[in-house]
Amino acid sequence: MPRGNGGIIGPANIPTTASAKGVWSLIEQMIAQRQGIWPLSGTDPFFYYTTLLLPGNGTPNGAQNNTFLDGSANNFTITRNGNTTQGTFSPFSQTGWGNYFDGSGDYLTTPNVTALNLYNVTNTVECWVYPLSFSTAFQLYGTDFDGTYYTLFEILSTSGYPRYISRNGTQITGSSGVTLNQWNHVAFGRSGSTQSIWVNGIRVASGTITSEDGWGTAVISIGRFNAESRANGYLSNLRVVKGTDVYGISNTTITVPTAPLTAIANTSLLTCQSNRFIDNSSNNFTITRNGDTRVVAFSPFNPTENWSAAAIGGSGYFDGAGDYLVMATASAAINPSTSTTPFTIECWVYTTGTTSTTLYSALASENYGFVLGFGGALGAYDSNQTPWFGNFSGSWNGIRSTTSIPLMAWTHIACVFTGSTSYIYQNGVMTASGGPSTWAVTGSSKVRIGCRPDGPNPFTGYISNARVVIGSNLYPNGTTFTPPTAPLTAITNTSLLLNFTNAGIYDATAKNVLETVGDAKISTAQSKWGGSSISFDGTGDYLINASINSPLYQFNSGDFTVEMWIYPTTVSVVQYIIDFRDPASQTSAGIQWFLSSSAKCGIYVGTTAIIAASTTSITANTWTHVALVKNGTGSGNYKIYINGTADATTGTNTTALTQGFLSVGTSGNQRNTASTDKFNGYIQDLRVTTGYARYTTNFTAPTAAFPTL
Amino acid sequence: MQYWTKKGSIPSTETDGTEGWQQAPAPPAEVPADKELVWLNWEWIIRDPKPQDRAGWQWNWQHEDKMWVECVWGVVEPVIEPLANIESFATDQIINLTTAQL
Repeated sequence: MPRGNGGIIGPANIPTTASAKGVWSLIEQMIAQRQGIWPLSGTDPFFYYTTLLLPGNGTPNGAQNNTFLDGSANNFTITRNGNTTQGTFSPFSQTGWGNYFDGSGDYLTTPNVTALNLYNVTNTVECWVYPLSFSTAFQLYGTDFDGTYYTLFEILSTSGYPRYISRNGTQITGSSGVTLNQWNHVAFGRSGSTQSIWVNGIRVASGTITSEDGWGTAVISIGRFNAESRANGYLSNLRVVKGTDVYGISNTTITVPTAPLTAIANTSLLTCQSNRFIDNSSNNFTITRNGDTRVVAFSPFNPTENWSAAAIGGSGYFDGAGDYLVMATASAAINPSTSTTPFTIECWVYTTGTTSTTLYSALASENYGFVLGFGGALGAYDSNQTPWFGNFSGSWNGIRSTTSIPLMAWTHIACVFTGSTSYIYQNGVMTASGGPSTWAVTGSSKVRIGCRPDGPNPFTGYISNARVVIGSNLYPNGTTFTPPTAPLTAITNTSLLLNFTNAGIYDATAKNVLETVGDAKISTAQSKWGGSSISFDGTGDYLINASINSPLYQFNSGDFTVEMWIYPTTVSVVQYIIDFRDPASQTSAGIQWFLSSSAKCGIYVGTTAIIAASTTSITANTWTHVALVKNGTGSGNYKIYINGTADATTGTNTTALTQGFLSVGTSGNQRNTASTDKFNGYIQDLRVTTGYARYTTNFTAPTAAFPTL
Repeated sequence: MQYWTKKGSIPSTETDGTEGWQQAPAPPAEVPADKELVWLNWEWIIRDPKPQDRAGWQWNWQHEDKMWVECVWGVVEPVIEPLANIESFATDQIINLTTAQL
């Protein structure tokens, strides 16, 4: 049957950028889109693989990412110290969530309780998995070996086939498997003694379990079986339904969900889908993070809304080495006016590391009137990461939680003084109470964000939605509440509010917080679309990703696309467009892309040339669309497209790309220098697509700005 | 010549006509050759260029003191819990396990 015709038998239709009548399969759509002949509908069907999108249309002219605004009515001037920066990575990502397992000791655990015991019972286990390697198995769900029993739902090493197995029992293995470096939906369904398995909607196994051991008593793990915890990749929306064969074991095909899973009837576990490690089933089982498993804003679903300051928000990044914010002038408005005045301080934190300092905090007043700190004791530091809330007047007074906050996940922390009692809440659950019955705070002070009250000892990570409310007890009497699901606003009595949404150069995927170095900025001097772009003057200007080595840019063995519009104002010197290498190691396995002194594109992995020089040169003072695409592993798998036409020079390389540092407008190792390797000109619509080769043949260069959802 | 800023943007002599623009100081007319001029925290600063970072350290602009300070990077201490009670497998217990799983 002829295809490519909008699903109708007969002469093939050819879509245009204006129209594509009929019903088209995703493959047909993908082919047409790669050729640039798919309607510009305003949405990108592959946005969920987009890991960076810099529209360059922030406002106003001259905007950078280093001016922080107080959204309260006080509008306090905020002073930036160090290289604190801000961007769109927030607790309220519009692109959904997953968990990243780095292949070395990362896994999650949850208690082995009856609701999660799937021995000899109808059930459905499903998730999306994005494996980065088949060198080890990817255990999705199961019990460790307790000496007698174990049970596993897993992706096998080498083949990538899904398998259900219990010790000495029948094992059911798929006849085909998941694909590396892509999101795959995997579902295991059981009814009676029949077990079926589907991959991306296709049944790949169905068989009878003729013998089966018990479930066992060992802990339930995600990403681990006993000592093996080498799951390498992403996991999203893991759901365990006990008592329901959700998809029907006899169905050879099933409809793959296109939105995050919900807690349907009989859901026992629903996790890997939130800004924190949490079970969203009604059981709310504790999910324990092990190794350095991290929450990432990366999921198999396209967003339903664009990034916006009001709905999604942002965060500030504090690098742990001298970064903090402070009010420029002291004010009495940020201190309780009497010793029994109620108040609330709160914020979201995503801690990326701990620092060996004597004391550090996320939010504090300079006169020690209130301090939200982290440590094993009031006013002290240790690696337990337990929040404490107190004041200091000759000695520390306050309360301390005994519940640690996990690294690499968002945690909402609220500290409340009711007028007589103090509380700490973590993710809406009261974790400490009591403390002094009065808070003797007088006079004016400044609030510091990201450091201790009297010095720069740092917080390391992201802080979002920091709010000080004087005169209101927002979360009274130790009751449990749902943490905020949208950016905080300046409600009544708000004295200070930092939403961190004043980034001029922002990532529309809400995955990154970029630092504008030098005077890299939004400029209206040149623009491909919308009246502005990102300006680099060639002397010390560049952008870097504050999250350092991001797994989202560790392309590994997978496909990827890096593209943008560039408008170089000079083309006679070496200038870097983008570099993913470790700044401390020029030989590290990351892509670097530069323009040579003759304006040809050079592509290297580490210091190994893939495309030493393109055949075509880039023209100065002209907007040019450039795309670097890696597609597969065969000859010529690296191509550069210039204005939609493949350059005559291609490259072949299969090195696994393990470096995810991001430098835009400079080489990584020349970040510190004034002019070496610096890009001079303008960039717009810089887009990185991880896991997908957007262009495999010549195409029409984009005729509009890239969709932002 | 009047300069304007909006939300702390680098001042310019032109606005886009939208609301929110505030008057801003003009940049200094002269900047010594060995200094750099930056717009930071709503003011123009003439300062020494950032010194070269050395491994494990980072120079940061301490705006309150108007000086570069050298800060040590934080020590990242990932929390790795010890594996609980791992028992070795007897041969008959691993009949269904592939080598790669062990």
